[in-house]
Amino acid sequence: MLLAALTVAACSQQEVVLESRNEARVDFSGNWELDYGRSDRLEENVYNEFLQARRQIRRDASLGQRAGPVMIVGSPMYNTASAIVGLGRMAEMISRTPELEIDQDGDSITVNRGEDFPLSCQFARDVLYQVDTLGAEVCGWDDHQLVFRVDLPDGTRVRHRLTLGPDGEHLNVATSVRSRRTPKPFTFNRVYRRYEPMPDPYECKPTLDRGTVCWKIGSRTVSE
Amino acid sequence: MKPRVWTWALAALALAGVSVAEDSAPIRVNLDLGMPLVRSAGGVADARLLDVNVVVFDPGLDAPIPQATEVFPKLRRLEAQYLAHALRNTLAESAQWGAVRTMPEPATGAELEVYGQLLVSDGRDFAVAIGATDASGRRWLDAVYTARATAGRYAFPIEEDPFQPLINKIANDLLAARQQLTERDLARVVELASLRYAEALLPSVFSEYLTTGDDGLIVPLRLPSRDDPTVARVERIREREYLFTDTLDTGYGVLFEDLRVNYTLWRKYSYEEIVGLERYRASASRRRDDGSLNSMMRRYGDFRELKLQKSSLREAAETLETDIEPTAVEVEGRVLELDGSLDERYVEWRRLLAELAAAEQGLPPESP
Repeated sequence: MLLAALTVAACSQQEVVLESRNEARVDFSGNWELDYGRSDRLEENVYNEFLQARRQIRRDASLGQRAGPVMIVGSPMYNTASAIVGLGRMAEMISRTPELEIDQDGDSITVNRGEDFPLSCQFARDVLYQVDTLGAEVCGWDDHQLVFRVDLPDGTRVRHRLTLGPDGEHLNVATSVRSRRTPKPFTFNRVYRRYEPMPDPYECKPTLDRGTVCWKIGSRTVSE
Repeated sequence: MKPRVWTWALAALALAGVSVAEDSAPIRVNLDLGMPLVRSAGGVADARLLDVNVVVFDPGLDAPIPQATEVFPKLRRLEAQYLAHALRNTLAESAQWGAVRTMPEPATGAELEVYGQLLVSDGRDFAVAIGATDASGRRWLDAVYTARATAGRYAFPIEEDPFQPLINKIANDLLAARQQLTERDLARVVELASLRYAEALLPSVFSEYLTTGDDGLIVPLRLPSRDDPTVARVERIREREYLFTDTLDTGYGVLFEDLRVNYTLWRKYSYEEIVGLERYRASASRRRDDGSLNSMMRRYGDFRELKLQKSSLREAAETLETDIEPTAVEVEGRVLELDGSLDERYVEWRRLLAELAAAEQGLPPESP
């Protein structure tokens, strides 16, 4: 845990120290479905980011004029807009999962995301930080929020921050993407609401020799 | 007895392809060249037929060697039993030894005891530290064996364990160690095994028969009389223990057969995942980043692929773990699970035998 904390802190002064202990005793477990109405809309987020970036560029330009003449190469507004759209589309694409199934106990938490890879954090073994040539990841608690962060070799950083609503019936997943070329991350919020899944009439079990084997509950008719 | 600590470092170096000094170098087995098992052709003289205990391997869950894939503790513990029994079967098949048994724990009084520690076992790489010590304390073997499988080892039909040549090599090395000993040496080992067993049961009676020589080996000071009734009692108790350990050995055999097909499939699957991921990493390392959305998505796609493959491997490991029902054996009216309380039960069993021996001798109970 100490290693994870130090590493996270070392990567960026702004990054919080993630903990393996769920001090706030937040329980995310259950089934969640996407609430499109409460979730962000990509176009709106991109537009708002774009407006903010434009204001910043104008401020920078006016400061630059007061400081003296500068040479501008290319169009900063075009480059910034292109980067914002890119980050926004990426954040939207990697957080598309319509349903989440979260398993949580004192030792670990796994966020199953359908066809996408599960986000998993093992607290008991204190392995919050894992490094691979294809990307490094860290996970842990930031007070009442659960954070998963991935650093890719090209400098891109992806972060998922999970927050449970006060009623315990809503879950916000804030997905942020930052690249080396942009000064701030693009954040895209998806809101999920809790639901009770319909009982599945089939029970399935993966096997090594026959793939996934399913049978209707109450019978032993096997289909593969 | 545990393999020496430096075996970790040696195995790590061997797997990384680094050369180490000849006298301490891990023994690398080329699986594709094969390694014929040296079988007895015309029978082995009785004096050379030592009984062998193969102790369930240490699963090596604390191994500091970087592994190509995640280590699944429950699966590793199954492997530790499976692979020890694979070695036991190979030794038995060679017909070079007396009774060969898989044991849950080291046991005082074994003629030859073989122990091991799994260092790496992921379907592609296999590294195991093996030691063997006889009843005199003489070390027969203390080495790390490593091998890397190629795709051919998993070509269907998979007729033998993909790492069988490595197991054959261990068996052959044990045989070579035995061949360096005289029949007198081996007869002494058998005597010492009996005496050490008796000493463990009744230390106050038998400790005076043994001492440790200048070379650190245990030697008999004198031998009990052949018609000593205490010796006869100890031998009767030993026969009862053989019945117990034979039952355990049968249980390990059942586990081995239950696991054999699916474990081989798991190794093949793991092998393919590791090889596939390495190819993927190689192509990812050649990527050029231009900061575009496509470039970023490709990088994210690489990471996603890594996570999906690891997740898939984990699912396969869990499938294998849950497919295997705990193997149970019935001993003296009690049902014991091989992966449960067996170790403690075996220790308890030996303590009871010691109490029985003491009671028959008219002595207060002694701890074995």
